[in-house]
Amino acid sequence: MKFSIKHESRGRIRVQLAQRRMTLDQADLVETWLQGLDAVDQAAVHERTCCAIIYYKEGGRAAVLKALRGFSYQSEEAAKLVVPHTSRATNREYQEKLVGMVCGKAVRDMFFPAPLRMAWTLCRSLPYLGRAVRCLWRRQLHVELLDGLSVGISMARGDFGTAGSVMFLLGLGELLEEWTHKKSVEDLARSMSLNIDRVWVKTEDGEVQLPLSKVRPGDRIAVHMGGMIPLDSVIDEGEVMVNQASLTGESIPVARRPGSTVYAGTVVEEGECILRVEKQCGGSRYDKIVSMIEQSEKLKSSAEDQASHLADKLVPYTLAGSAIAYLLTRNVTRALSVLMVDFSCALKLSMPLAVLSAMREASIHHATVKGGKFLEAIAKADTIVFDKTGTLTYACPVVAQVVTFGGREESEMLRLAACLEEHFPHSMANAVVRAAQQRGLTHEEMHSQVQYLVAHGIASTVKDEKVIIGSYHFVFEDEQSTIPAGEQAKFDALPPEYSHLYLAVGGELAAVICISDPLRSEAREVIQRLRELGVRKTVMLTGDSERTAAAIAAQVGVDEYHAEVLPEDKARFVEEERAAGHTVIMLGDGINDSPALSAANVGIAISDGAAIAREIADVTIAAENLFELVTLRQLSSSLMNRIHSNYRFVIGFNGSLIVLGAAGILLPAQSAMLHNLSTLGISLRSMTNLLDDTATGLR
Amino acid sequence: MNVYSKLALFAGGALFGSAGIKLLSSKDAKNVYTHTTAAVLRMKECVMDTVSTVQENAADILASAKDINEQRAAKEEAAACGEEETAAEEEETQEQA
Repeated sequence: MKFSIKHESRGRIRVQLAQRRMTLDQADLVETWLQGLDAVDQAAVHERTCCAIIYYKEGGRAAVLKALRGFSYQSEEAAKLVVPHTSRATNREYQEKLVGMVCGKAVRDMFFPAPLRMAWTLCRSLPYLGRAVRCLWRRQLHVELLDGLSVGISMARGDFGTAGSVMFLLGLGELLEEWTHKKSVEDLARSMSLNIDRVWVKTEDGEVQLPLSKVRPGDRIAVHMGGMIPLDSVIDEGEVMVNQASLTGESIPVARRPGSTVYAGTVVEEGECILRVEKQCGGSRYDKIVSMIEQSEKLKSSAEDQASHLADKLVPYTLAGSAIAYLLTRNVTRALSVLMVDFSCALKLSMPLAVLSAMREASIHHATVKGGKFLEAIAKADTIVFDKTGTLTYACPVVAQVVTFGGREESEMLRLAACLEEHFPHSMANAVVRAAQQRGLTHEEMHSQVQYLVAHGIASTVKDEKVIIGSYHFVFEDEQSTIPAGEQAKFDALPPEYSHLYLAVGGELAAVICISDPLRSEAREVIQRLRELGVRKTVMLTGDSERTAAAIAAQVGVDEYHAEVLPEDKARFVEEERAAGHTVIMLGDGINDSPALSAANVGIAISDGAAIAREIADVTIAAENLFELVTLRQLSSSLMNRIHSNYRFVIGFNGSLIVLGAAGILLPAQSAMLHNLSTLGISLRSMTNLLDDTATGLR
Repeated sequence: MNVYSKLALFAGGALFGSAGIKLLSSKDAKNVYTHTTAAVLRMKECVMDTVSTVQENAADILASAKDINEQRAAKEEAAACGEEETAAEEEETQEQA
């Protein structure tokens, strides 16, 4: 693709692609493709000017330019690219509205004759006056009443200019809020959208893994516990408990039997099933999420609600102040100057913008926050509970050794283990599967029904023998397996620094798979930083054995740890902490963390973890770096600071405007202008980033 | 208002009601409206493109400005480091002497 370089600076380059027009789809395609390049940090494409703005990593300039030269819309690479739904169309629409409003006002003020302006202002004021009258009718003293009074009285005095400018600024503020709200909902929906791309399709030969796009209506797919239902389908076999939180907002799972319909994006919490696909992969899920988000109240934080109520409560005081000013000075102008200033609209406008902007900024740092109140809770939290596997450790444990018993062969045991483990989204399972792949051990599905018992293990039958794989507690205590005669010494000599996965065939221990689960290098520092930022208690809960847990806890520096914890106990621990008055953040990634995640004030899931954890969690963070947590905490604290400073500014500034108006120093037109400009100013400021780049230079 | 102006108003209204409406809704007039609307839309696109260009250039200027400041800061740091080193060397030579 031909292009010309329009501007360059360190780490940033703007290129203009050689085409006269660019459609929205083409722009989205180019942007997605650019963001997928290794050398690119961030990329944005403007379709109106056909320019692409690329922020590249150190030394990546040549690579970026080379890739651009080789790009073409018709190439195979471009055709295969999955382009997510972007807010390009929304942005375009609102940008046009904004420019239209500003240009319209300029043209009207400069070119329209006075009578025409008057007529226009009268027409525009009708909705405001209507809303004010409705407020009075319902005997409610709300912000709309003040706005309507402001506009109406200006017009009654013949001051159409002031009325016009008040309405213009109010309209501008409303447009900004609507735009930001819509964009936030879309961003949130996009990050909550379907993230799976391969499913198990049941054919005559057994289960085969296929990419989602190849699944046709009528195909049967298998979904196991903890997995996400990828497409709208009807249950053929199996009874399951389905969590429909992403669709209906309810976190209580519902039972579904053969014959009932289940929807794309919901998660199987218990049981397994075979589904017959009804609808092929499409955009229906995205729209459902958008409507769910808009209906839920989760986006609002309690600070916003408070601000809204405060705004309405202050209205009578403003009216009273105006009346008092009139009574004391007998001067209508002064009374009007007081009336023109209403605290209220600044509060109502800037608080939601601050919260929505913080949510947007969180998504820039790869965290998806599903509601404003969760940011509040993160800022207030004094206790953090961590899950060990996948959270404090990299979710990539590796198989270190396989110790066999009963004279069995290592590769056979590994093959068997992989065959069972590949159906489940647990990181230990992935380690076993990967190790088998590395050794070139392929298998056919030789087992029958696979049963997964949460936090315990997997049971199945292979060639008429019962095969189980899982923790010590499961294999030895629950299932009463025995160690083959004479191998007790070998068992005792198992290296203690690894986590152990026990495999038993026919009631007898067959092999122990030693898995090493390395701790994240940044874990210790992150806990230190969190303590500096005010988190008083850090706790680690794990289902692992006592000695591994003790070793990890000492290494990472948590205040408290509990080992061999079952999922219900995790939830109970969190509830006890909450009952004791603490605000608790829970961090986890697996199926067994979901009860605890819902019990906490804020449940944070790692985005690479089990689908159900991601669905239930209130916040998801990217898996690369635990410092995201520190950044989140800083972001939330900055947000609360900003909300408080907004309060102080609004009340202080508008209070002084009222005093000056009552003293006669400011005329109504001036006080209206200053008030509305300050409202707009504080709204715009609330939309800026909370953290600057230097604060997050901890990568 | 005398009789003639009233008569003129009446005649104007009658003309408008009969021939005027027909003219305003005829195909030729429709053509004119279509072309005018197309021109207005083109103007809107032109304005939006200008806004876009202005935004991009502003972003470019900001990026270059930040660059310049960073380079200056780096230069000053290097100069300050150089001064510290020479000051340290002078102290050492003074102590030795």
